Amino acid sequence: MCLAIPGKIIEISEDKFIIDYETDKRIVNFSVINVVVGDYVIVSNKIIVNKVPKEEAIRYLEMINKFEK
Amino acid sequence: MKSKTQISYEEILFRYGLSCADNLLVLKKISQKDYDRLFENADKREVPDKEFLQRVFSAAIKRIGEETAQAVEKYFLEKHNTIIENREGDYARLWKISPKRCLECMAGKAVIIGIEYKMGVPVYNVRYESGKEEIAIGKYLWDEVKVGDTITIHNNSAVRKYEI
Repeated sequence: MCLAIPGKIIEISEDKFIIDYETDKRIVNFSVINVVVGDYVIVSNKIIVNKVPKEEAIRYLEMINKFEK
Repeated sequence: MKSKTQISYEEILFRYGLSCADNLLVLKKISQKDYDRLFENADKREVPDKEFLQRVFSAAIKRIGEETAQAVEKYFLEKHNTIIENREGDYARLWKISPKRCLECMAGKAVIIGIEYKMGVPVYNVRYESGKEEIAIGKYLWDEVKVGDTITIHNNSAVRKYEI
């Protein structure tokens, strides 16, 4: 499946965003949108490109986790 | 700039597949090593070899079949989208939660209606045939484009200039 996976921003510093995907954490260095800690975001080509409403992201991730098990 | 007919099978597979690499990494469908290699190549504007691409994007390869650039593009712009639109398999359940996330995965053609640069990265404002307006990131779009050009987009990233 081709899926856009939301991750939660848990830390922002001058040049990096730490994103929590529950199974993993990733560092991304660039965002084209304004984001704050706690936002759920979509990353494409190492760039934060979209925000996802929290409730939607949580339900979506729960569903994906079920698929993966 | 390469025209539609000049692009190789490997290059078009690389371009469409690259925009899915972040998701594949999170889902552990590809290794960190393979992910890093993809972007090392992308940063150098080098196309990886066929064997590597076919291994990394094996799920798509199974569905594409024929080893031609036309078959790859046809797959992403048609069959790949049909699977999502028809809500086949797991998409049925995901669609109920977020149609937008499902639609985000679809590849499509759109016209550039504006271009801005953020830290040197082109961000295209695009309009799809449906009238929907979105942004597409052009970090790995290797073609020269301007307002009015049509590009293909996958997962919010510009893939290539579409020669009509």
